[in-house]
Amino acid sequence: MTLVIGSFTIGLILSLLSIGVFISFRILRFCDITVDGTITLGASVAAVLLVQGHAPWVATLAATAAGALAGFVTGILHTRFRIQEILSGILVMTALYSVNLRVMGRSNVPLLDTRDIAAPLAGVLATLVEDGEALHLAGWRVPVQDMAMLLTAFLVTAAVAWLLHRFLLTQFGTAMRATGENPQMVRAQGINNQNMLVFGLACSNGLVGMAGALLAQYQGFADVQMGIGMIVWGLASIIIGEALVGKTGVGLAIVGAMMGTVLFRLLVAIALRWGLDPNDLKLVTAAFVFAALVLPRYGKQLVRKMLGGRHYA
Amino acid sequence: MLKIRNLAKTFFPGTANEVTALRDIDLDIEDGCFAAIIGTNGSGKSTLLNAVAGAFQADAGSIELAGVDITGQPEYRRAGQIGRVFQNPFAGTAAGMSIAENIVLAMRRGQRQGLRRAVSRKAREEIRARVRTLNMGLEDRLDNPIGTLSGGQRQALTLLMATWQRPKLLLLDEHTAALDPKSAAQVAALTKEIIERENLTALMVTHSMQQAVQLPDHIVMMHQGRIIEQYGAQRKASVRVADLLNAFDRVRRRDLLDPDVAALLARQYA
Amino acid sequence: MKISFNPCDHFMEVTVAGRLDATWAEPFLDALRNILRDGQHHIRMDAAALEYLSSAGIRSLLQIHRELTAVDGSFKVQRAVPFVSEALRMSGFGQLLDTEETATGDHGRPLPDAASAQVDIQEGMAIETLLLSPTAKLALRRVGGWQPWQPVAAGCCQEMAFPGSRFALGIGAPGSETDGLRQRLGEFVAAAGCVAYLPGDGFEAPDYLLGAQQFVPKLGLLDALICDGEFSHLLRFGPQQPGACLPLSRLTACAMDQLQTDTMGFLMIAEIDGLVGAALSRSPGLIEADTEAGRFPDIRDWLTFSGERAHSTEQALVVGVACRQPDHPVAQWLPPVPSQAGLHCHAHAAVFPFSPLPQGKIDPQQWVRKLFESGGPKAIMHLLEDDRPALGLGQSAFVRGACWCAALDDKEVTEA
Ligand SMILES: Nc1ncnc2c1ncn2[C@@H]1O[C@H](COP(=O)(O)OP(=O)(O)OP(=O)(O)O)[C@@H](O)[C@H]1O
Ligand SMILES: [Mg+2]
Repeated sequence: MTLVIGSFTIGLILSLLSIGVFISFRILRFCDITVDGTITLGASVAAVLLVQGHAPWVATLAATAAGALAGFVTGILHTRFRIQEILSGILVMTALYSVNLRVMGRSNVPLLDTRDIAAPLAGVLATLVEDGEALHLAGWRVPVQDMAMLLTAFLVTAAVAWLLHRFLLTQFGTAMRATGENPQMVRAQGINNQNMLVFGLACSNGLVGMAGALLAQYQGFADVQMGIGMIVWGLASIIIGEALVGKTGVGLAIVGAMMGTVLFRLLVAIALRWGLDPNDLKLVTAAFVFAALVLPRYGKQLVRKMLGGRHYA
Repeated sequence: MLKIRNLAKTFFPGTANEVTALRDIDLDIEDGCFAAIIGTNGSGKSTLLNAVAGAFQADAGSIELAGVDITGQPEYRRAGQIGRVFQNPFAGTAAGMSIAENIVLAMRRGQRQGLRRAVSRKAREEIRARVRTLNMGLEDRLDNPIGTLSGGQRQALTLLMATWQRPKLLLLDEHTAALDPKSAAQVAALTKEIIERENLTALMVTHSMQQAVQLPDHIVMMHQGRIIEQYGAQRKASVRVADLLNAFDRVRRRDLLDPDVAALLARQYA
Repeated sequence: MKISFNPCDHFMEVTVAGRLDATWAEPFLDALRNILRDGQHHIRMDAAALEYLSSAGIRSLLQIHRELTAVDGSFKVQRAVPFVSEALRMSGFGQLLDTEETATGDHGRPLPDAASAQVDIQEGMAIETLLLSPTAKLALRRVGGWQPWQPVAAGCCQEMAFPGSRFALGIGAPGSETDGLRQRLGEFVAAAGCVAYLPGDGFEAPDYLLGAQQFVPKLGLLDALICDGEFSHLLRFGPQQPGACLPLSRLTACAMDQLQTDTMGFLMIAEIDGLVGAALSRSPGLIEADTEAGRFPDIRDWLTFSGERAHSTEQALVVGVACRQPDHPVAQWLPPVPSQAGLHCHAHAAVFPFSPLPQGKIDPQQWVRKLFESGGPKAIMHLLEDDRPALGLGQSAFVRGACWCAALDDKEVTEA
């Protein structure tokens, strides 16, 4: 049960990352690599602020703002200085590695006695359950701490998803979606597509920063290495989500990304439980994304061959 | 009124690929005038339209629209007053978004995009009413992704979007060229209808001499980055397709007149 | 329907089998028109195998009959089955039927007057010379005397009328200097009281004036060569071999041989093989002082070059003056022909839609007028020889036609 609760919690936290990646990759159609650096940035900013005794929500918001700033820089590099999108992402990501070390002052900040963002909810829950420490769910004992974190992550993620959905349906959000689809058309409608892109990247990375902050609070530490490969995890989640809900409206896509992330975490947890070497996890994930990207195309060819739709004879 | 003075543009200057796409373009389009630009491939028609739309900065010259110098304005800012339809039916709309969402963007062209719901009920009613005037039955498919429509339907919608907010200038770059003959005729007729109804100032690039003779009030003929001929109000009235073809033939023969031929003429033209 | 051709001595026999109805009327007419264009003006149609003749078919028969008789040719339907002859008779076109009485009638081409005709065959072209009034000579007058690409001074254009007996070429325009003549100057050709001219406004759409009764066309002339008088000879030429044609310099050389002279004026109506020439695209009256209008690249604004052997298969009206004695005063007025040392020739051509000419001696007045009346000129140009190495287009050449000519009377060569 700990496993399930843990997977759900991490899954929900990382949903924020997936939603961020969804904004950059799917809505803006921008291959934003900054994410790997931003999630660590969010974690480190939050961790340092928490260690300094700031309120958890202050730390989380500050991490979000820091993430947004990173996205903003990537966007500016690409639009104002005409650096290719991948390269601008790589530049910012690389720079962030040093920035993160500077922020934390070392490569790892443990959060030992700090309050986390779930603390208020944990307090409320504790008064509700009899023994004040854990509640019993279908015969399992779940610590209040964990439950509170799960619920908080769910509330935050749901709120973000709902807000994002509302936002994307506004005039501004519609313009942002169109920017990704057809920048020329957006320009022809009198919208500055470059600013739109910068704004979108800031949003996307802000969410990633928030995910980093929550992750640090859940894990109890921030580590300069924690971001490596996060972009691929995000992509994997989105792909699973799309497989679950199909490529339809924005709302469903957001829900799909969340579901995909949680499912992906569960799969990972199960794989680890079955004895997958954690060191191989990233390789397996990369292979999965590769397969998900390539198989549809290859699969179509295969189907065509099997159906004999096209003959060269 | 559109006033272009000494507009020039060279691509890849100073390299082996240097192309002078526009040289010394002077053009005046009066308010309410519908002008067609014709010219051989690569004569700079699209480049001229792009320069007016602001897709790039011209090397020299000035562009003035309705008394305002827009030469330095970025494309998106000009778009507030300039409507555009592209040759590619896919270029003017966002395929994955619904008809209504696409149109909503055009409804607020040149204004701030706010945080109100984009496809509000009021907007929807307005969209439905105006889409109905296209007579394509699209008013019942407002929530379908625009990518599911045919090229002709998309081009008609793009035209509707470009003219939703009455533009000070409408730019049409071979907007019927990629359509099948029937859709092309339909879109051409729609173009003429909208331009006349709204009394728009428009610049249309076309390769169809037939269209050039029938639709507009003014014909601008381009060749190698220059305007070589204009058929204004009076001459336009008497111009026929054959005259335009002749004019192109003259241009072609003018290019044939090289220094060798000039020497020949000097000896034998007496 | 099946159609086959069988050339006979003096006529072409066309055998038609099957149905001649709306579907086949046009192709049938085109096939017969090609025979006419090839110079055979007498056609006999063997209708023995013709099964059906609709009204559209009758119309096409009548049409070719009309076109052939217009050039003194003939068209008869022979051996028609009763149904066909009935159909023709009932609709009142019995005269198309070649009945027993007329079967042996005259359907040969009129034999040239043996005394005055002489047929010369050169490089696939038959050139037949017919005498008109052997002693006639032409008076040549040069008017204007513009030096190309010099600015045109006010008052230097002379007005001249073009009655039927005069033919001329040069640069001019209708009107007077007070109403902007100098802005409208362009090449012209005048003959038989008709004038074809380029309005010099850069549009190359020629205009024309047709003399009628009291009206005699008048032009203001910047520079012109004007011939008055009668023609002494008529040259009729046509291909002996398919694809043969007659270049202008060979035609003039041949005519001067026949005329036994070194200077001549000529008027020609002929089917075009290809025209090479140039025409003014702006009025030379607009040339300003101290400009180099005649030099490259400025010349592009003033002249257009045909750029190809143009107007093939159409009919040309050509007016020219030629001289093959370089020190003759007339030679000074004419541009040289590069391929023929010593030959100078100035000729202008007006292009008309093709229409066939009758054979034999024909009247220049009548047939020039017919050209103008059948539709205006499509182009006018100053002919020249393109002798550029490799790229050269050569000179203008003609397939078949009539060329009226006469020697110039040296005593009557004047300059005004
Ligand atoms: N973005 C660009 N970069 C480089 N060269 C360009 C660019 N756009 C146009 N050109 C060149 O400028 C010249 C004019 O091109 P343009 O597209 O304006 O011609 P056009 O008249 O629209 O021709 P078409 O009828 O084929 O559309 C061409 O030689 C073209 O290669
Ligand atoms: Mg173009």
